[in-house]
Amino acid sequence: MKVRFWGVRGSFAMCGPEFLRYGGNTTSVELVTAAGKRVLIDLGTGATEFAKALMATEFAAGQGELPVLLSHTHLDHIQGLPFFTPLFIKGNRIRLYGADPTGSSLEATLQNQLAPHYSPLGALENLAAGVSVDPFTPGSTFEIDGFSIATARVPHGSMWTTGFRITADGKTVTFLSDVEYATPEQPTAEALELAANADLLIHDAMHADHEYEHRRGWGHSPARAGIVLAERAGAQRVALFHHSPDATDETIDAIVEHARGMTSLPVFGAAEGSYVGV
Amino acid sequence: MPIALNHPFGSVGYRITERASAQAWAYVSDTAPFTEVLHKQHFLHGLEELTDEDRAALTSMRAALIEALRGVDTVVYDTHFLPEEYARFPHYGHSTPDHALDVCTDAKVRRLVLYHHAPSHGDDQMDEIAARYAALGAERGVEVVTAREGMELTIGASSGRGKGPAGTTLPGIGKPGAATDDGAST
Repeated sequence: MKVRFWGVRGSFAMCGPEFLRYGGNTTSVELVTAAGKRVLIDLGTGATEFAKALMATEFAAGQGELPVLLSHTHLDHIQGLPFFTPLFIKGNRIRLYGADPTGSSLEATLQNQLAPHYSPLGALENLAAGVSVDPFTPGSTFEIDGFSIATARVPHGSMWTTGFRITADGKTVTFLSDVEYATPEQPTAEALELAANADLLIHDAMHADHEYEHRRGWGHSPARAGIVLAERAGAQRVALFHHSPDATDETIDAIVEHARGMTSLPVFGAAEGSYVGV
Repeated sequence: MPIALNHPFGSVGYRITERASAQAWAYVSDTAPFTEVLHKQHFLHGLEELTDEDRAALTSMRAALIEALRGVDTVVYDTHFLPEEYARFPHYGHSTPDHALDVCTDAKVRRLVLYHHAPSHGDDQMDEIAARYAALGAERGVEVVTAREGMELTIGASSGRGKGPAGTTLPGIGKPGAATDDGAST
């Protein structure tokens, strides 16, 4: 399985020369099996770059199928939806999967995003591609196109988001962005279960460890939370993810370096455009 | 002064005048030109046939815009598309620099600022667009500047200083190119 990071930034997109190496687009991660099956996690602004890549494939002719897993619907995770080019081509089938922690339905939330107040698209029905919205209950597991997917609630400030454990080709990737535990040293049982023996753990690392004390309760983790979780859960490798928009390339380099000093596990900062073999 | 624009579900432009100096600038974004499509309160799959009433509404919308912009020093205008892109997406609600130049020529505006650049236009392409329309503008007596992040403009023809076009200053905010001698004209 291959992982490609199309967007790694949290909260809002950044641009400028200080953000060129890790990239400025918000969250969007593609997983591809050896057989070429794809699943996308989140539709942040990075998804617009992924869309361009898809337009060089069967999606240009309206023959593409893509499952998309949404961790939650905060804007930095869905802002790419109205600009996701394959949605405008008849014949493509885009399947959106997600839970909704707000008490509204996922479909109603996504319809709102396309409402005239926010977008000229108006409604999901106006998209030329076939779009389905499949809600799930966190804790459930399901199969999509050769991927086995386990889901769980993880705490995110005053709400929760969905964490994913995705297995394909005998390898497992765990996705835990946006999450904050009671303390960085106390990952929840659900997080431990999702990350158990994972080959790659992609984890929220919004804050530098030394800044975290001032950011408690904001719903995001310091880099060490992912390291602690990986070590306890027996994960093999850690990708620090959901970088703060305040974090320049140099800041992220320092966060990664600091995290490497805490563990013997391989740790890297997720960078936009990079492929990682799992 | 608010100005009605031609954009899906409506959009508002503004003419802003500084009382003390009586200098004015205007913000005209987002808007389609006033010919092929009249945006109303519904989703458009593509161009819809215009009725005589629609054409009349477009004509009066453009006339009101020209009136609002008359004599304004600087107009920041939605120039999202190049002409060939506009031809494919006329119903999206955005203009080309050519449309903006026509409006500014008619309203006798001194300076046009190209703005709301398409996400697909990279820096190299923006440089070409900037150069092409600066030349086209010069032929018609309109100074054309291409907006870039961090750019500051001084409103008023006599306030030019430095090496940029009249009235243009570029703070050194670390953006690529901002340190060049004549950054605003690139």
